[in-house]
Amino acid sequence: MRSWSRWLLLLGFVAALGVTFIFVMRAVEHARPLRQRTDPAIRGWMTIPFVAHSYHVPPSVLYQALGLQPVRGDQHMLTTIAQLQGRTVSAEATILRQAVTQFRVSPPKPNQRRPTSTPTPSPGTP
Amino acid sequence: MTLSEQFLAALVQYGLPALFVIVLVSSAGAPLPSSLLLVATGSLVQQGQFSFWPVVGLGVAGSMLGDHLGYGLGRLGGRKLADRVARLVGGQRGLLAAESAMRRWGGPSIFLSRWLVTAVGPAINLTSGIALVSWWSFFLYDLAGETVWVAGYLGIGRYFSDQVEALTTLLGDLRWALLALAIAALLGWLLWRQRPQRDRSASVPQANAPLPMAQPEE
Repeated sequence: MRSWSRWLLLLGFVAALGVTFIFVMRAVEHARPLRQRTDPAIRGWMTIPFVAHSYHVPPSVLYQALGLQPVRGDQHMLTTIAQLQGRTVSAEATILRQAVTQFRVSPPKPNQRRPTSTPTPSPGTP
Repeated sequence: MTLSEQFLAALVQYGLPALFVIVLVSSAGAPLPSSLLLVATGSLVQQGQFSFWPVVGLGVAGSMLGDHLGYGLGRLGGRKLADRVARLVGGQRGLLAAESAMRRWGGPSIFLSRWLVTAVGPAINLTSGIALVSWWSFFLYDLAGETVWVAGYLGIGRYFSDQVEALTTLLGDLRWALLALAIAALLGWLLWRQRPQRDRSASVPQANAPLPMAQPEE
């Protein structure tokens, strides 16, 4: 084998090892939220039950924060809800995060009945 | 919304038919975020929206159908095209070597490229067809590999059902790291192969070198 092609192989080998190292480091960095179970971002494709599951809060808390009635098996995405309510997804996400924070600061007492539905002044069920 | 989020929205909106189509198209070679969708579906399974085994069945069926599209393409028309390209660029020896390697290592490479080094999956489908790997062999290794991939990703998605985005980012990093490591291993092996050949050539006498003659006793 010619020497230049061996050098090329060596260069490729070192580059591939370098790329492996970079991605392993990235993986270690990205594994941190999994280990610490930090709160994930709220995205437009998520449904309210999905957000509730990700944040470990009852869905009714989030429905109440958005002024909606809880729906069993609800598959409306936040994008759709935001459109119906005339808000942006990030505005909806802010409201939901505030509701989660409030729930965690003062969770309802065990004997206190959590509201299962809320009066909806506007805009009704999505 | 990013492209990945649009696919996730399709999954939420249309359910399992969307998963089936996306996994099929992705296995046929289109760069779609099928692993992300499987992890998200695992989370939805955990939330009670879908049942585990029907999703596994549908995912495996979709991905195998996509794989067979590539295999069929390679088997039906790929050989002629590969021959023509090899004649044009003068790589006929390389093509024969690739075919021989595929016949020898075809099964394990099909199995591993389904779930471990998924980036090379579509290329392996095509070369399996070109190398005329038997359909039964392709089918069985494909079935085993895709079952590991679909059930594995769904299982991980179920376990980390509250961390879908972080998990898919992590899995994406690991997938690229594995691919880069596989390339490094291949290049390292090629480099290593040079060494013994050079050592052998140093110890074996040259063909035109004079043979050592016994000196006549005086």
